[in-house]
Amino acid sequence: MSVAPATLSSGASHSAVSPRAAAVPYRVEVGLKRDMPDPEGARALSLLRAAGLSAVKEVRSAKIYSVRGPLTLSHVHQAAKELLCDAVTEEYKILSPQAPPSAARRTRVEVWLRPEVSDPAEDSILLAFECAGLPKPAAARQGAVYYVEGRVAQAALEKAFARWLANPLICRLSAAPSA
Amino acid sequence: MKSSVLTPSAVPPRAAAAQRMAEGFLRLSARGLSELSRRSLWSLSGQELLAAQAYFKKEGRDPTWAEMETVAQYWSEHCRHKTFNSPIAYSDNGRTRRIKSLFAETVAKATRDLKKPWCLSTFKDNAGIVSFGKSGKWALALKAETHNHPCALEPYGGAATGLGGVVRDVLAAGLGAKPVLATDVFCFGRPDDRGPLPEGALPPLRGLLSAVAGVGDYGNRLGIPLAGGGLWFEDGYRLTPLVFAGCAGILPRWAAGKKALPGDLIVAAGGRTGKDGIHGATFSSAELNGSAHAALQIGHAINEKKLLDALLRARDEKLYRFVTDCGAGGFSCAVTELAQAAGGARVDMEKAPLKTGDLEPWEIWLSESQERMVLAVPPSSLRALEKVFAAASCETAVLGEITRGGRITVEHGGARVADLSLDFLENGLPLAERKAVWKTPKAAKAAKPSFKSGAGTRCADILARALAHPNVCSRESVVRRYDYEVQAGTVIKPLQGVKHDGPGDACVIWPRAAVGESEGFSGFALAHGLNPSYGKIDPYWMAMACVDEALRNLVCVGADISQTALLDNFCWGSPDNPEILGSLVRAALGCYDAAKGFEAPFVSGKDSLFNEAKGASGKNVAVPGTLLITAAAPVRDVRKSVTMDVKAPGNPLYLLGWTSADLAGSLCAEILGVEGAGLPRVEPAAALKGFRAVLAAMDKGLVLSAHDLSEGGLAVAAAEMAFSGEFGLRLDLDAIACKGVIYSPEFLLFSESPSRILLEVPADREAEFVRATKSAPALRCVGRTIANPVLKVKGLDGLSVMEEPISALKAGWQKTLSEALA
Amino acid sequence: MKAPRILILRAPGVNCDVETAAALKFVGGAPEPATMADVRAGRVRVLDYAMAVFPGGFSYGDDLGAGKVLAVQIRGYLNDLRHFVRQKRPVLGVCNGFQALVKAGLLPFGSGDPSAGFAANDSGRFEARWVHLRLNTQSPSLFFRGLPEMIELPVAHGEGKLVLKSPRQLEDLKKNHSIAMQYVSDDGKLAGYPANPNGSVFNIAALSNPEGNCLGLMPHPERFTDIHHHPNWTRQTFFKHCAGLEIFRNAVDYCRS
Repeated sequence: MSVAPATLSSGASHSAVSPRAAAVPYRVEVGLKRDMPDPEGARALSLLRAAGLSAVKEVRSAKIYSVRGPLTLSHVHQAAKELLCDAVTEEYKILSPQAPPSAARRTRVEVWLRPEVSDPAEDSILLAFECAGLPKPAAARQGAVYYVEGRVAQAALEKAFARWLANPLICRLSAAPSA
Repeated sequence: MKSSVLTPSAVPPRAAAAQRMAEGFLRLSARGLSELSRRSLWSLSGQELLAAQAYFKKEGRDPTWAEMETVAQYWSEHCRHKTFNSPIAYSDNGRTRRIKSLFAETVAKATRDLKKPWCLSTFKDNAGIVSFGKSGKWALALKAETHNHPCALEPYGGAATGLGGVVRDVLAAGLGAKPVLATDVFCFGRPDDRGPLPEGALPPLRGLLSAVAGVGDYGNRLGIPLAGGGLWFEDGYRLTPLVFAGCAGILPRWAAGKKALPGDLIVAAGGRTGKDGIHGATFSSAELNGSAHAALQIGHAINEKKLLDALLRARDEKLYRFVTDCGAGGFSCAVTELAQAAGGARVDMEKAPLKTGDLEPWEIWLSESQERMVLAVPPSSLRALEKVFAAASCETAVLGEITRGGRITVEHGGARVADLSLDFLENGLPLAERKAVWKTPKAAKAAKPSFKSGAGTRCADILARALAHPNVCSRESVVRRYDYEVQAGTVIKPLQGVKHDGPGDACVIWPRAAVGESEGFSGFALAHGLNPSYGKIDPYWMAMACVDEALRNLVCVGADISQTALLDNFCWGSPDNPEILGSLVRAALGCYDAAKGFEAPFVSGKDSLFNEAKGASGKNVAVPGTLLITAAAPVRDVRKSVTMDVKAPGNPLYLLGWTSADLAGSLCAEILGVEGAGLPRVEPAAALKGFRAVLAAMDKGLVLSAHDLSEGGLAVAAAEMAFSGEFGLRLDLDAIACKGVIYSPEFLLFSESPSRILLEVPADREAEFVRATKSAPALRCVGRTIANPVLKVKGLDGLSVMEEPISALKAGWQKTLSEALA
Repeated sequence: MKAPRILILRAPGVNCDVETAAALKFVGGAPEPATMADVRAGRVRVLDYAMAVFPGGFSYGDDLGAGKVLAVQIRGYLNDLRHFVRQKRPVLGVCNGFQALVKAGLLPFGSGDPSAGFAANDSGRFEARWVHLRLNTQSPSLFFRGLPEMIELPVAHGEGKLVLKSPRQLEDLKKNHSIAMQYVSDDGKLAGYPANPNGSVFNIAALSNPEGNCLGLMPHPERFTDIHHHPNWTRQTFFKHCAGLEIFRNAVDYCRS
């Protein structure tokens, strides 16, 4: 099973009516609304600083879901709004297959469990779709996203993440500049 | 074409599915066998490989991959405790004697010798079982485990699945116990250690944070109060942390035994089987070398919770006759264990529910996917059992049945995967004699105090540094991450005192809701003993001190120590090194003497060996030999339990036990950078007398608070009692009962002499207390509680040794870990 | 008098059901555990009961946020619950059960549209601790009869920070006396961490519907049903009131009347 690509998937176009090719997962990012404090981001910030990355100014965290199955884009919007997101504290975006080119000071780090490691959240995600009357996905996974503010070399950032925030033995992580 | 045996790969070829291993195994030379074992990660010795080869010669055929994997799993150190069961030539300071079996001659012998009628099941089941409560209807299952190797690589998942495993052990004790308490003990490198690390190693603080999060996330979801445990920091664990998890469960007494019968169906229950966790058992016996990542998992607490709910319901409806958990070795060990108990088994791996479809039959057989158990179910009960499990959304599958043939037969849709004689698996393991050497180091010998008083450091400074030391400081920032009160049974909590932040000695569980009885106040207490610093000097006295520490912690909360059940967890380096094995033997001998001396039998235990890692120099570094003692004892009436915080000013303080100049291995010696001489030596008979006297006084309500003296001695204990109760204390060093003449206030304040407890006695009932404790050796009034919030110590010369505000003492004690973990 | 039948709703990961049922039994209730699967299959009808309780725990692992999947199920399969609430039958949600009731839109207003949400504690950590709580003396809650204004209960959660959709909502809650409990310091003042263990807006610890028969709270009343549950029962200085048990007693007495 491999539904957790480390890089943005490409190829399939979004369609509101026909399900996407079953092999290509939808990716939904769920983050706290901007005015909400982010304790997970603050934790990451203090660990990165302790790891010597003093140039890091702020870290915002988000959850990311990868869902594969007989779903249309509108299904995924409904799921994101009603299931994956807290109506009051969070907001979501469905990630476009094309990675936005950018060279901002912000780095987006994505962390997933390796495909061979079972994700305990999968059962709940599948069940939630079913309970909400949506088509049951074939597979789903949950990951984490960190937006790191500040000028840091990507290699140093990845190394600090591997040491303090994600264990490369069970996680895949990828860092890329982001808007 | 070359046969796969002659060109062995680490993983059997896919084509080997369910098939015979290619020809050649029977003809392999000893070297060829060793090479094959190494590449296949079997961790089998040359002698063991030859025994397996001889067996298959007798069978007249080559083994299948699954068979060799089964042998490797079943004969692994993890499953069979070979070191503890093999003969050892033990040289003690040059005198050699032969130990036939370390296990049989030490921990198990103490239990046998003591013959306690309340021990219902010891060593043979997944957990030890003792009787519980007044009614005679209930029993208590106890188990403590380690998960060191996975935690070194992946501390979050390792700690979580370690807890999951010990919980399943308790669920598989007898016909299943309801877990009512979980514990964890972590040994890590110091949290402020930022030193260079070999590639791939995690900084100690990261490991600690992840392990705490793993235990919290898993245990909190399971709804088992995590109310006991400990932390120990020292450099010896920076590459090889130790992670212990324990669990206690309540079961009806009728459920303490189990017996599967021929014809019973073998049913798998719980999570699905996946590719995760192949080779855990053999992996845990191999020194860490960065391979075998497939063994890493992060666990699925909700699956375990479903399993727990369904299993206990099915137990109460008496729907199965036997249960065991899938731990190391997965089905291969669990089903074989069941077959051993029942006389034979036949199973079909095609019936096992899988996470993904790409598993080879041998992988299904060996996978260590978490949250699975195996049951033996009478065919007439199957329907009802399936219904109970389905109601808890927990999956079950019939894998096969119990047979009479004396063999374990594994198929996959008609194809034979393995067919082995149970007698061979159980009795065919050759046990080679090992060598063990022990030489008593100088520091262990009783000697005149080598440490000069007035060395320049004030007692107040030593105390401040002791309180801030990572092995003494407040654990609040860790404890609060665990739900220690779920199930509404934690009547003595890990955090105590006015502000709910003082360091309790033991927790007391009152499983009223769990047993569903509103009457009765029976509970139990659980505590630990651990001190690797003593072990570095003499593991024998470490073992004695650990048992003593666990017992005096139990006494402090008012538990009836006459019914103490002990668990042992030995974590050592490679037993192939005679000195390491010698130190292990020495510790086991200490366990025997302590158990006998304190009349407290071991009911279960576990060893974890090969705790070594390659250091920066490229040489293997072993952990300090570490013994964790877990002790549980009944609390006859939880309403009489005692906490450690002082309750009011004007009350006399009594110190139980002799103080000697024991500074070897002490915290004070470490702080001052001196060696110290004389390791604390426990005298169980005298200690027991004192403990019993104190308990008799507690029963009459004559003790308001009690705290044990451990690392940092009297000064640390007094400070903790004072700042937790928010009153001052006045101590008079001249009043302390000493062995020999001691002139130095440092010795009197910081000695770690064993078997000592500081007690607060109600002023108006002091005479009654003195009468009740007449039989206690060395029980003296050493001071008073005072309204002024200071810790005041008067020296032997009548002059003040220190006068420190308790708020400052507390602030220093609270800072270390809360800052490190912030 | 017959003991009122009380529905204890369970789902995988709910883990405070046993002690919650025990507490209800102590005060004369007849708790009956059932699962959301039973409800979905029609084997259990909430309207057959005098009271419904959603105990604490980690329903479905809280994998999509605390109580979220359970809330989706309540919306999907437990339509009768709204009716049940309108009939003034008591409904109690504790910790995870509270989170689910809020996310299902049953609290604070029962409009069906979630007007409050939960976020991770400001500390970023799961935390277990005893807290001081001030009850709203004007609360219409049937659960609070005879209770003193200040009580103590334990909390244990990682996502207990209550957040409201808008500041106007807070005014509405105040007007309706829906803010049932607030975290306070030991002298009864609104204070920050650790008195407010999670950073909840306006220190809100519990919400009631305006009618007073539906209560959701983060603290665990089932963990204070005996004096020996209090962290300081070995001392003499605290207020000896088993507030948790009284909350259950009020509900059961109400069912009987």
